[in-house]
Amino acid sequence: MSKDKPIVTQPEPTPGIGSELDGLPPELRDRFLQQIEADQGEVLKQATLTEDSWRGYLANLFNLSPNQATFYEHLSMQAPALMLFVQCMFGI
Amino acid sequence: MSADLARFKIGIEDEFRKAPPTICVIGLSGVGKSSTINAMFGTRKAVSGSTRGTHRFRADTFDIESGRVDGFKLACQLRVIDAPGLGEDVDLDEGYLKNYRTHLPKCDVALWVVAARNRALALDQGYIKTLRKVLPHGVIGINQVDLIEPLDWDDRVNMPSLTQDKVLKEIVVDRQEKLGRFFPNRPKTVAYSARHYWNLQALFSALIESAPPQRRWMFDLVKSFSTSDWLAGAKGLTDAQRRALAERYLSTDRGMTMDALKR
Repeated sequence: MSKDKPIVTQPEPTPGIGSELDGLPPELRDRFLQQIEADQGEVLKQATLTEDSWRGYLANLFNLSPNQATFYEHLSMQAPALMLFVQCMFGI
Repeated sequence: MSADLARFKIGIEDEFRKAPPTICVIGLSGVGKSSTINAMFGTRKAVSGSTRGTHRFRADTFDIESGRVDGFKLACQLRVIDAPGLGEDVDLDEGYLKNYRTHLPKCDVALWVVAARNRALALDQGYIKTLRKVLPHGVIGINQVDLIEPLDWDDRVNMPSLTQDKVLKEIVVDRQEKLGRFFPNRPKTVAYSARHYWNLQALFSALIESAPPQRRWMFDLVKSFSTSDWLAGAKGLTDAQRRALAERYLSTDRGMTMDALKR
């Protein structure tokens, strides 16, 4: 190696779907990925199913209106730290 | 911790102490009721706070430290009502059913577990008919799908083989029809493997959907598994591949972050 040429360290390639599942037959890989996607769909569904439940509980805890239009406004005024929590929790 | 957050923590923990989320898990002996609850709520590791019952009818309250809110440990409880010996002895069954009649109306949700290989459903049908009037909304769980013939569970991806999958679809339709029609509501039927953590997310969604809307958040807090638990059993993948998959696909399954609060 020439001394004039700097040694450049190549970053590790970002793993793609192919490298993540190297060694699996294509049809098995597809079924596997479908199951992962289905699982993640269920996780999102759970978040949707519990969101109103959380909102109702918090409204009750802080004596706020459960009405969605006014809920965040009241919460941001009366419980700002909790408001941040709620934003965080629901990805608002 | 701010006053709001302290109030939030105390409020949640009080709510759990007053009325913990309660699951009644029903099914014949040996179908994997306890392993199902353990897989979903980590109750094997949790402390059983109290056990009351007659013979082997149990009403257990488990203390679960919830880590679902990142950086925030919450002391929660889960109540599980279970008759592990149901169907073993006709003389004892009457006592179990009497206990179920007492406890079922106080439950948030019922999980009726059957073993995938069991085609003889008359006992389950009989019990469902007997308890129909007191059953809360529930879910039919088809466990032990790895034991479906021809017993060729695919360890590479920790999933049913193609052949098992075809049989499984028929089993779900069959059990939905033969058991579901006896329930007061039309319950969802979900096939899963507690042992392999396969399809537990679908089972958990169905349970939450069946729980009273105002109590669903409590179940969310005591959830103790993630898709990573299922991926961990895929023997055809290297650890690096599992990590890459988790990083790429499972970002929504990490619970809740509190980073915004630290700003």
